[in-house]
Parts: sequence; C-alpha cells; structure tokens
Amino acid sequence: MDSAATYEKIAQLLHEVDDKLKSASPSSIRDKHLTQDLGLDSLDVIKFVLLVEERFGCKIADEDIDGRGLLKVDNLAAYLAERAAA
Amino acid sequence: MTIGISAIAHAYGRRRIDNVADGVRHGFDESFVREKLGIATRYAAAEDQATSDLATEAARALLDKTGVPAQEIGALIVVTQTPDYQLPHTAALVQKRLGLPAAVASFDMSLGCSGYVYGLSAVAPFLEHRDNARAVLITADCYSKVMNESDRATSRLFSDAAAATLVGPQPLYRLGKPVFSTDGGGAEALIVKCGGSRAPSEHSQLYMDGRAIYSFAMSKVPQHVEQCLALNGLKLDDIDRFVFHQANRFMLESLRDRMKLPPGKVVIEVADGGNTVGSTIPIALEPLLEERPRRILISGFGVGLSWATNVLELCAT
Repeated sequence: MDSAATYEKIAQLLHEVDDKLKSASPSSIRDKHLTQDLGLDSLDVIKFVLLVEERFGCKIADEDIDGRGLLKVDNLAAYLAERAAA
Repeated sequence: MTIGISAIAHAYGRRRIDNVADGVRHGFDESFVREKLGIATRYAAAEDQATSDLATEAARALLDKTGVPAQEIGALIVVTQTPDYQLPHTAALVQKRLGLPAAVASFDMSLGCSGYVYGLSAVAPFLEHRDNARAVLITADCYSKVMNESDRATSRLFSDAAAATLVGPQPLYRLGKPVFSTDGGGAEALIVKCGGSRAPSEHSQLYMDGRAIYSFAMSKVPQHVEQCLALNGLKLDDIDRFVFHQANRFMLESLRDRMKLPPGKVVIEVADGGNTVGSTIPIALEPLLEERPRRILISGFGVGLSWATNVLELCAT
C-alpha cells in the first residue's frame, strides 16, 4: 500500500471513530496528533487503534504506541508502511 | 426440570457519588464522563459495609418482594471476587444473616462480569430431588475496596452493588442453552495482585488494561452472540432485548454498532450506577421482568478473561 492510500485509509477510520471528523481528508490529517490536534479522547484512541489493527491486519503493541509516537498520524503511517513491508 | 428467573432485587453501596462532579475534580472532561462513559452516579460501600452486607440487603429485598419463605430456599450462590474474607465463603455469611435453614447448598463462585450467566446455569443440580425448592443467586462486589480513586483507567467506572435473583421451577423466564468461554491468557488485563496465595501480604489495587478489555469484547462478544443464537435455533431478529454487561456507554454503543443491532433493542442502563461488575446484567434485567419482552439475550464478559451468553425466554403466563 502506498503512502497516499495509507493516509486515505487512516482518514476513513477517523470518520468511523468520531462524527466530528467526517470531513477529515488525507491531506488535512498530515502532521496531526490524534488527541492534541484531532480531538480524540482516550476511548476514541482505543477504538481507533483496534480498527487500525483490524483493517491493516497487524497487532500494535502498547510499547509501540508510546515508543514510536503512533498518536501522530505521520508516525502511524510510517509504522504501518514498515509493518506491511516486513 | 425447567428452571429460570422469577424475580430480581438489588442494593447499592450507601455512599452516593456524583460521578461527573467528582470526575471534573480529578481532571476529567465533564462531557467525557456524562456522555462518553454515560455514568452520572456511582455508589460505593460505606466504610462499615462489605460484600456480604450488600448481598444480604439485596437478598432480603428479593424475599420481601416475592414473599418466598426462607425455608423454601434450597441453594444460595454468591458470585463475587471481593469476598468479605479469604475464607470462609461469603455465601455462608449471607446464609446465616438471612436465616436460611442449614439444609441449603451455599457456595461462592469466583467470577466477575460473566458471573451472572454462569451462576444461572450452576443452580439446577442443587434443586434436583427437592420439591419446589428455589435458589437465590447473588452477584455482589465491592470494587471500591480494591480501587485507587485516582487511577484514570478505572476510577470513573465502577460501583459497589449486589443483585439477588430468584431461580427455580415455574419461572417467569426460562433459561436457554448457554455458551461459555475463557481465555486465561488475558488474566492480567483486569487483575488485583494481592490477597491470594501468590502475594498474600502485598498491598495492590485494581489494574485494568482498557485497550485489551475493549479489543477482547469487540472480538469475542459478537462471535459468542452468534454461537448462542445458533445453539438455540434463533436469529438476531428473534431477540427483543440485548442485555450485555453494562461496562459503560461507550462499550455498549461500540458493541451495538459493530453488531448492527437496532438501538431500541440494546439496553444501556449505566447512568445511575455504572459498572457493578457481575450485577450489571440482573440490575438491567429487573425492569424488563415487568416489561416482559419475549426473548432477552444476556451476555457477560470481563475479568478472566471470561465470557458467557444465554437466552431467556418468557414462559407462558
């Protein structure tokens, strides 16, 4: 999956998690932080991460969320690309 | 022998907590507590209250409301993981305080949020060969005694409560065929690491891995519902009410959306009381016994990890 497709998919998942993010586009979520910029709360993050795991077919360890800074969309996209290539 | 549920009563801990105001004081956003968790009020046991106190109060309320004499109770089961003592079992304490006869089978079951569904299925053997005997199934927990009020993962969710259910022949709702599951690999996702034989003297408090519990519920409960319906020869449309473990509003809405269930069929009763562990299902069922929908699916899930699902069917009246 190329980078644009990854961002597209992440944007779709954000639509599912929070109605307020229905207008989020792949370009508008670049450089954004899930909680600080996009307004997800702790439960939204839990739901979002589960959806990412299911739709991208990979388990995400708690240590990676903190250690790799996966609450930043750019870090998450890079992480998912790396996992897909592994 | 066809057995099932005839009546339910419950009791909360004496200390009433405004969960929204208390949450704001602890740094939570008001709308998060009120709308996302959906829990406006919680109840905690007073300093002088323990699990057997709540259990006894709920059981007394049940016997009062049904008029069933104590002599007719053949079994008393207390589902709890916060017993008064490591030993003896809490059911023995409750048996004495209720004035039940010595000829009663009394025992505890160590289960949490799945415990009510398990408990219902555990009753039957203890009523066999006893004419007209009935059982009192109690779910009771005091998580406030093992909780850290400043822990963000658990502090807004739980209440101390007990629910007592009259189980026996000629019921209002008969039990369907249950499905039970366990995954001990997830044991550490919801745990109190003290008081047992591994760490008898350490002081430890409730720990919950919220992400692990959420993922578990979203992946396992929908499957369980399907299995249970298939086992009972039913389809989703045949169920009039879904009573899942009332963990919090967010969890219940997520399950509802994931399973594409009609909102009107999914019971969400968390505003007053929140998550009462094993008692959430009977407390949510209590008003339904008056409303009397034809079929109710009940599904409990949580600590263990353990999950259990069954269908209740209204008997001809």
